[in-house]
Amino acid sequence: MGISNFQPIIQAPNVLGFVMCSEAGDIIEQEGSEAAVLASVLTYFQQAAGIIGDSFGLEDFQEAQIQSKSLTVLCVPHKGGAFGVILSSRTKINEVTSIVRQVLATA
Amino acid sequence: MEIAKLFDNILDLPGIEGVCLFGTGGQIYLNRLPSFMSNELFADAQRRILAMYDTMDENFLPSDDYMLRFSERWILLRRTENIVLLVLGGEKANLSSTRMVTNMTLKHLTPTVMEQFAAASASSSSSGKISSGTTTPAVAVASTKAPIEVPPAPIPALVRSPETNEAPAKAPVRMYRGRPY
Repeated sequence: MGISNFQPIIQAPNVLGFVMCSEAGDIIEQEGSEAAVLASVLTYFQQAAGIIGDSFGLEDFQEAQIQSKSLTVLCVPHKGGAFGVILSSRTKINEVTSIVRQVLATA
Repeated sequence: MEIAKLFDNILDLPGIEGVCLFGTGGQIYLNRLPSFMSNELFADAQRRILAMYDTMDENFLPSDDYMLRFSERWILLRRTENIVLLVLGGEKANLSSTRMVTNMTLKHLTPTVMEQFAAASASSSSSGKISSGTTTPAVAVASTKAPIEVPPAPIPALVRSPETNEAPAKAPVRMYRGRPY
């Protein structure tokens, strides 16, 4: 899957970048600002989220939204790895989530 | 406004199954999670949540709000200066409404109010009501500052433990939507 397949994500309003990581944390694809920084924590974060869910008896981690003052990050598990999208804080995240899921479904 | 009402407002939202307020130092101020969430289990979760905050702060961006969605439920974590509000929501719960109501809740949790919480949780933990005590450094918010100015009246309303005064050896009462079960 090449970078062109992710164009719908990149072109979505207020998307600043994305990164796709393998289960081991290696970067498969990345684009845009802050993507490398997100890549350094994305796999850890996804594992941490899963463990926190385990503590509550929750299974099948599906999505996470991280909101800071300036940015919002969407994290979605994908084929054992993780897919993260960096957005500006004003983004309508549900729209981007739909686009991401459509793109990943074809991956 | 009565502080307990702020948490009732969260629990009254459709689909919301529990709420918990704890300090970044480990103190549990309020626990209205479902009964399946034992104190030991929650202490474990609490450590992991705080570790996640620390790691993300240091290695990515300082982020106060996390929403973790699982197949049937989601967990909303919202941090202010010294406290974390955790909300457990079901499939039918509306995340936007929850954010709006928790905005109001967090707005009302001023340092003065948190001093009341610290005092209430300290007195309740001795009777085993709120926290297991295993992860309670009992530092951060409970300072020596102005304990006389704190009105004692709202504290029982926050903890809702009139029966624990009569039977301290009894098992902890778990709350769901403001009702014991």
